[in-house]
Amino acid sequence: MKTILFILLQFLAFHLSAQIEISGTIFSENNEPVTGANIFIQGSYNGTTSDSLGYFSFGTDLTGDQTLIASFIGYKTQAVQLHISKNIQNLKIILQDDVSELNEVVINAGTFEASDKKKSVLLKPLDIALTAGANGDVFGAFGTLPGTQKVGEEGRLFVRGGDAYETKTFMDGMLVNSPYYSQMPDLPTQGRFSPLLFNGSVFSTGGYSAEFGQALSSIVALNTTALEPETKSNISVLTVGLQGSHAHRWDNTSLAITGELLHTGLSNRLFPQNIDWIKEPIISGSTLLFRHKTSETGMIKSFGSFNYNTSTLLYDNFEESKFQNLALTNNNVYLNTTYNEMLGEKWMVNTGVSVNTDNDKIVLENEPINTLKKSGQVKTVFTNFTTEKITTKFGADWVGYDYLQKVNIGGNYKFGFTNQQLSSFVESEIKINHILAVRAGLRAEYSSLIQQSNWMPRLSAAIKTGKNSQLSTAFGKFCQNPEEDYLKFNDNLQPEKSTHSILTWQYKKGTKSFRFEAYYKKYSDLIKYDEENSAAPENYNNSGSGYSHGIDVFWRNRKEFGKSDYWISYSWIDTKRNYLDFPVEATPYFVSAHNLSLVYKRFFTGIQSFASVTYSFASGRPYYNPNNPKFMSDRTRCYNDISIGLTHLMYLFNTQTVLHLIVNNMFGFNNIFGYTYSNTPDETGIYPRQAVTPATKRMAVFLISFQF
Amino acid sequence: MKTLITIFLSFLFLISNAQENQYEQAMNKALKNLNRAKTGDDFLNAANTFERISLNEKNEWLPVYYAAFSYIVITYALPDNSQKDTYLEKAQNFLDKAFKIEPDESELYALQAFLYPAGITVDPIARGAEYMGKMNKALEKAIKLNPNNPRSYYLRAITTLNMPQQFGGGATAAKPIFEQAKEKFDKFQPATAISPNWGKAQNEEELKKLLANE
Repeated sequence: MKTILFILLQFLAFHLSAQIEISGTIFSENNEPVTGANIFIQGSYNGTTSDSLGYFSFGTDLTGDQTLIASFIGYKTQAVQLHISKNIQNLKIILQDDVSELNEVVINAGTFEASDKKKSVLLKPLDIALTAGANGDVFGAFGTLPGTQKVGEEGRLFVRGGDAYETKTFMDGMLVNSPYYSQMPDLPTQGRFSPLLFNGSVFSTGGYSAEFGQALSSIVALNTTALEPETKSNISVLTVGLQGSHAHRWDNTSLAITGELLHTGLSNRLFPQNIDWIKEPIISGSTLLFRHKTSETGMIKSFGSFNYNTSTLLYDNFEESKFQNLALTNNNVYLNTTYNEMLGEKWMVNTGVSVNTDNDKIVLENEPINTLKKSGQVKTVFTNFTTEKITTKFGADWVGYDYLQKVNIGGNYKFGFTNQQLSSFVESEIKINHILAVRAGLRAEYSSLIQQSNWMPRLSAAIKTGKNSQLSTAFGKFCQNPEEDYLKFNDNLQPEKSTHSILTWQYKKGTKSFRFEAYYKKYSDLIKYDEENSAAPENYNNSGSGYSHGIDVFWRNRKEFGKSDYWISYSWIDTKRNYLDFPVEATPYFVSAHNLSLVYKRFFTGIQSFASVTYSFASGRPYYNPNNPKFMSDRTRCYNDISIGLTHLMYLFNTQTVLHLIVNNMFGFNNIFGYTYSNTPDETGIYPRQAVTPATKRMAVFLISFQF
Repeated sequence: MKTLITIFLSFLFLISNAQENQYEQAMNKALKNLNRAKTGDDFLNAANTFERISLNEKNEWLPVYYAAFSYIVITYALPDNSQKDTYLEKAQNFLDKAFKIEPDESELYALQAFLYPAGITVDPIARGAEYMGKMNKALEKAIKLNPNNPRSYYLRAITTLNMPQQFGGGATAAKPIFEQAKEKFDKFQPATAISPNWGKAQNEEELKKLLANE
């Protein structure tokens, strides 16, 4: 018996030691040796790592049909079938680049995305927060990108010849009806939300996904941050008020609240404004963010924002040559809740609800205008990943909108309407191979007020033109219901329509990126009328039309930390339209043919400071001059602005402290946005005019912030 | 007959024993290589070995733990920042696998806390605050799960030391944490021969440097 055991043991020992040698070399597609690749026989410990010449050699005790695996970061894992009976030498294994990891083709015509996660993007979320001249406003920062217009007296985004209302804002996929603060005449407004709320954003200047609708020109899609990283608080003292926040983090849940109280009283003393404030602006606001991770892949996000602001000024009504007491009070509440979860491995669901009430109370010389807008949205989107190459999204949303305006000017009037907007979409993105991708989508919308359905196809594609470059194109139809100022008088109107055609070439290598985009946009069914604010419904119709075409160029060199980082964007545009009360086709007041932005940022590690400078240039804008028989043929002088932002980090009173200074129009360029003409000519028959200028030549805000 | 059964059983025992030993042997050998590793290539070699073991031992968290550990260490040797993220992604993938196998292991949270700061240098402005927050959260959890895991304290000490004074870092702030870590290291006994047991020497060295500079 002992002998048998002995033999068995011997057999085992023999089995373990009878090693067969497998050797070879690993190359990349370019025939260069790959160092550090992992080579092994599937299902065993037998294997090794390739050396600096790509050479490998290892012993195995396995015989017969086996699979040899070779893998390395940045390459596709390669499997080789081997029949092992004796030593195998001089194997040559070629690893293919994993395009999904390095330079995947990305459909991006018309799109600027800021993200920490994706590698193909040209912007990072913090680029948005730290751009000088943007005043910490998401929309202000996007205004330094090509395709946008500098319209200093508005503060909103004007995209590719489109009016401000043609851009819509979405938060976590949900519509935000009033993303900007309410505006006083000729004074710029700004976005309600801090850029620090978002960890990713998409700014589309056209040709965007079928998931989004009711925007003729552009969308801004903001994604809020996930769980707060840790429990912390922050208090900031500004020359214009106070801000504070507290975030609390539990294991799978976080809650953050912020509050602010802003008053420009002090700042207006330091930098006098050419405005007669009767009551200087007060802004108070609060936001609430709740996040709960429901599972490994599921997340509930709730967002709430509450805003109140009020101001009164003496309005210089040059047209009617009188001063008027104008008071504005706005109350805004916006709430949304979204839920995302994977349904198995192949499906994802994104669903959400939102509600918004926005109440503007304007009192002009004791005559009140009260506007109340209420809206609600329910939206669900399913995404399917059944095959690796095809991603299909489809979904539906409902938006209910109620508008009521009460005017008490020479009598009591009420204007209002209710609309239910139903939309659904389907869109597939197909990766045909690693150099070509196509996306096709269709959106359908129905409005209960207009009683009309519209079908909008969207198509886009991208093809690699080299290892670091790609060509991308997009085409789509878009429509948007007429603005409430017309719908409130007449619901017998059609949606306004536009079509976009875009061609983009992008090059990105290392820190450098270059983008060139050409587009053509056609408008139809724009609102036209003879007389503004006429309550006669027959005054409004859809006979307006227009076009815009141009080129956008973007260059960025984003060097490593501590070195300079800059981008240059330039846009040329030619656009004309015949809409509103235009007698002929003309370029609207908000368009300048040439727009240039130069943004420079640098972190000085030695002194823990961050500096950012933005130079903006825009060629002259058209304005209406009643003395000139040719409509809108005058141009203002060019616009110039150099703004800076300085940030210094320090440790003060045992807490982390940030000092921050922004100065807008540091060199005090005299910018003119346009002219207001009197309604009545003077004795020589000439209509006198007054320039529309910024409220203050230079503006500076200083902030000290403590974090604990 | 009895003898035959005995032989058969002992043969089975031998095989299963050999297999169990195979795992431990392979781990021991790989750990020896890891402990000797100096260059990025050495660590890559170690990472590859642990990856091979992990593919055969899907219920063991240690092979993926060490593979993740090796990949994190490699990023400190990378000449080019642009590659860091791909290596850290790979490390995170291994770590995620480990979390699936052993969700309440203090060492995994400590390793997660080791991973976050490695990515900060790629984009300190954008990531600094966020990643430090995530790291603190992971350390809290690691300490909660095992207050005697010395690596949690060592990692807290070393990041505090490397953080600028402006953010509450520096030698004075770090020293008491290094001392606390030393206490924990002195008492620490790894559960098995292949359980995580690194950091003691580095901790002593940092403490020595701090004392010399005083």
